[in-house]
Amino acid sequence: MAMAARNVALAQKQNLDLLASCSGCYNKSARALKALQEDKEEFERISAILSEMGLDVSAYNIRVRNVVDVLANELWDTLTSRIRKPLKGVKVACYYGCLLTRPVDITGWDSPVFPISMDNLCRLCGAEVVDFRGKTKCCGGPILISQEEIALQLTKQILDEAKEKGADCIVLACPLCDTNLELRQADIEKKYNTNYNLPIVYITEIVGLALGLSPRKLGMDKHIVSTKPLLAKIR
Amino acid sequence: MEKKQQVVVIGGGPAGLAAAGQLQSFGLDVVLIEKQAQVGGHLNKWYKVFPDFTPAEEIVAHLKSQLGNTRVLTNTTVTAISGEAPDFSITTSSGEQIPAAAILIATGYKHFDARLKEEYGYGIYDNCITSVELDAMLKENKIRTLQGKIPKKIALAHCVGSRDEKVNNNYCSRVCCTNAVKLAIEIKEQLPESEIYCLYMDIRVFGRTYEELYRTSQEEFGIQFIRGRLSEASEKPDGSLVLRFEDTLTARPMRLSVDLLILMVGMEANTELAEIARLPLGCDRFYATLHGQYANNHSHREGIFLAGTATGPKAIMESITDGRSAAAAILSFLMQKAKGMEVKVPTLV
Amino acid sequence: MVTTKGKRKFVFGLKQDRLADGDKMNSQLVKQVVAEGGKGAAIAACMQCGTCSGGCTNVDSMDLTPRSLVLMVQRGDWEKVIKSNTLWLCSSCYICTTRCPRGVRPSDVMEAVKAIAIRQGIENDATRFHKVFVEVVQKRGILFEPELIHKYAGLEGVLKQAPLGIQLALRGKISPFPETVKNPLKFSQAIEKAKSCPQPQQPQPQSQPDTPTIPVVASTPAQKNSTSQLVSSSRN
Ligand SMILES: Cc1cc2nc3c(=O)[nH]c(=O)nc-3n(C[C@H](O)[C@H](O)[C@H](O)COP(=O)(O)OP(=O)(O)OC[C@H]3O[C@@H](n4cnc5c(N)ncnc54)[C@H](O)[C@@H]3O)c2cc1C
Ligand code: SF4
Ligand code: SF4
Ligand code: SF4
Repeated sequence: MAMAARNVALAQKQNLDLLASCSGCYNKSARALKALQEDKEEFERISAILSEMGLDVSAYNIRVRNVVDVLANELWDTLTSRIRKPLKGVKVACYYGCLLTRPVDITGWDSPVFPISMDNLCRLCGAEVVDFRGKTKCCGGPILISQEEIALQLTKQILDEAKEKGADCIVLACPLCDTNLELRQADIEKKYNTNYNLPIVYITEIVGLALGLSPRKLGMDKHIVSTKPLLAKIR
Repeated sequence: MEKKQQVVVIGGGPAGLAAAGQLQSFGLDVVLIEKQAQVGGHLNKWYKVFPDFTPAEEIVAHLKSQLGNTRVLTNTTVTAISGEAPDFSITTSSGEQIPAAAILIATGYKHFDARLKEEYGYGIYDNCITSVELDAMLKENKIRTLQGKIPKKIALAHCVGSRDEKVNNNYCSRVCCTNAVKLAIEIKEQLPESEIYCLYMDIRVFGRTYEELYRTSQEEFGIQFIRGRLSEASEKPDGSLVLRFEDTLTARPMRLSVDLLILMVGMEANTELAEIARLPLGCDRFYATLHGQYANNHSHREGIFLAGTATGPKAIMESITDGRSAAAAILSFLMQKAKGMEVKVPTLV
Repeated sequence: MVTTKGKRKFVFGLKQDRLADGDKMNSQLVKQVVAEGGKGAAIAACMQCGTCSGGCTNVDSMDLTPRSLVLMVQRGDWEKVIKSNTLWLCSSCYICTTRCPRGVRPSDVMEAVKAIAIRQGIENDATRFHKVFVEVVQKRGILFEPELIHKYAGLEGVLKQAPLGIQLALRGKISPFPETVKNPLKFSQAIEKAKSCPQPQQPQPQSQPDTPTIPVVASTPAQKNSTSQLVSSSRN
């Protein structure tokens, strides 16, 4: 808690909202902020540790935000007017995972079961969004190292559904989910003798493509699972 | 009583109907205001009701036959209430001014909106329906999946929208357990081949002969009761559903495929008149009564009374009894007023 | 609640250890868990509905369902709780917490129980990973993945993950060189301090003779004042 609070405190010092690009960090930071704001005991306990680190903050009024939240709730209008290259004909499955939307009392936006903010963003970018029921199922990231078998199974279920629904790629907003879905794809393919070749891309990349940024600039060539088939479709 | 006094009853469900019938039998002038085109309230939706499978129509017909010369205004609501007891004036949506010495609010309840329990997929999955929709199917003797097939396996999920902090309804809706037992029997009668599972947390069948109904459902109809609250449903490509929950009595997680999932939706307060009548609500958002033990038909305002499910979940019999008890409280109030007596209403301490 | 270890049989062939001794129930464990996890770990309101277990991501592999775990904590059966694999299979997905109709947060209960278990010195793959993770972060103030894998799984583990690591490094996704925060020393001192700072009013069952003690199930030297010993005792 204190470690997450440190980041929150650093942001508060500069009076800036904290924007997290990873769901886990977002969740932990939001939780730390909530504790700092609402729980007096916790506030005192954590503050003592923070001041040990040379950080003294007496009150917290910033917000912890997430990339999807900001794109969907702050930049919607800006994006609408700047879409240059609508992603016609691209089918995407939006995967939210656990910590972006749960638990609701900490994250407090969209839904814990069938959230739609990322879907809406993708539609705005011109992509077709498949009806992805596994959008908030757990990918097993946190137990990947210690319970590999089970984690891979969980990941497999998600890949299976996306493939079945005919998605060209999975869109997500968390590096740990990405680790599991992208970096472990090869392991899963080997283990279960299947073939996915399913590119896993960040929501920021999708938005970037629609804005007309060059795929190179977006780092689309840095993916482990090749994004070429996806990019070919956009052209 | 020298001059005839007029009482206005708002809401024509079982509670309002019973109260109006009783009030007019006391010799009072009664006006019954009902929002819908028909009186009868939720009974108009039900097929046969627990615990004895009386047709709902029969109950409505009986209550209507007791109305005497009650003036019934349908398709009408109340837009304003002015004055104080015993000289209220009620403005209706049709623009009429109706004088009232006392007012009875029996505006009933609303169903919980099952879409709020997203993990059950109501409104998304084809074969997830509410108990209200099932009653309509039973009426037609036509229980079918959306694909038009006869369902073989059917689950009834208890406590949907009740006893659930996550939807802000902490209370028990009281009628849905018995209703589930009743529905299970009815399904089994229409579809003897079907297998029926009730997913419950506690079986709350509290009324006279309700327990016997529960026992009958097990003994004669083979209904399976599984103690575990439904956690989530997911849809298979053929439209059937996979349910996930814990069978808590064996302490094992369970997966169950069913063709039809029925959500036992609970009751929520209908307090659309709270502002017009200036009445406070309880923490369950039903109207607050003056005292939970001995003044359950009195509101916090003199001359305004409450009956039926407007003050919390009740079965039909209880709603009717409550309506009649409110009628008695109103009569007592009017008689004391007429005699110029100080009205002894229990007050809040 | 198992009260006797032996599997002696009664004359009627009943196993004696099936009997739960109600007199041994105690609320110490609940208090300890709440002290550890704060309000989030409050479990008194649980009505045993099983919603948490029903939706749980990994319940199929758990020997105690999350609901049973909560129940065992309520009953004070530390032995069952600590022996179960449930704690280490929980992937913190928060489904349970999102759905609990009574506002219990089973995921936070898990975390609190795990923290107590780790402090008592329990050892397994999961705790080792957690510890190593903390150790690496503590040292640099930021994570350096190759070091993490090295410490956790040894050289063998590094080699196993090497092809992936090289691919990642080539694509500029991870750096082969470690980074640190601006002032790592200050950072790690503060973390050390945070860990050794006394836990909020934690009841000490051992010191009360009339309450049943919570047995320590551990293979390493148990219950040191600071967790740093535990960290350094991990294999590397
Ligand atoms: C799914 C379900 C199944 C049930 N099955 C059974 C059963 O089998 N057996 C049983 O005993 N009980 C059953 N019940 C309970 C039963 O429905 C209620 O006890 C009964 O309907 C309550 O009567 P009421 O008059 O209080 O309210 P309602 O039936 O809700 O009637 C209220 C009336 O007031 C009217 N109204 C509302 N607002 C206004 C307004 N502003 N102005 C004018 N009119 C207004 C409404 O249109 C309605 O006609 C069931 C309940 C549910 C939820
Ligand atoms: S009556 Fe039964 S189903 Fe309805 S809320 Fe109460 S316990 Fe749940
Ligand atoms: S969901 Fe909540 S109330 Fe139900 S068993 Fe789990 S912790 Fe207890
Ligand atoms: S947080 Fe843990 S216990 Fe809760 S549902 Fe997820 S895996 Fe299960």
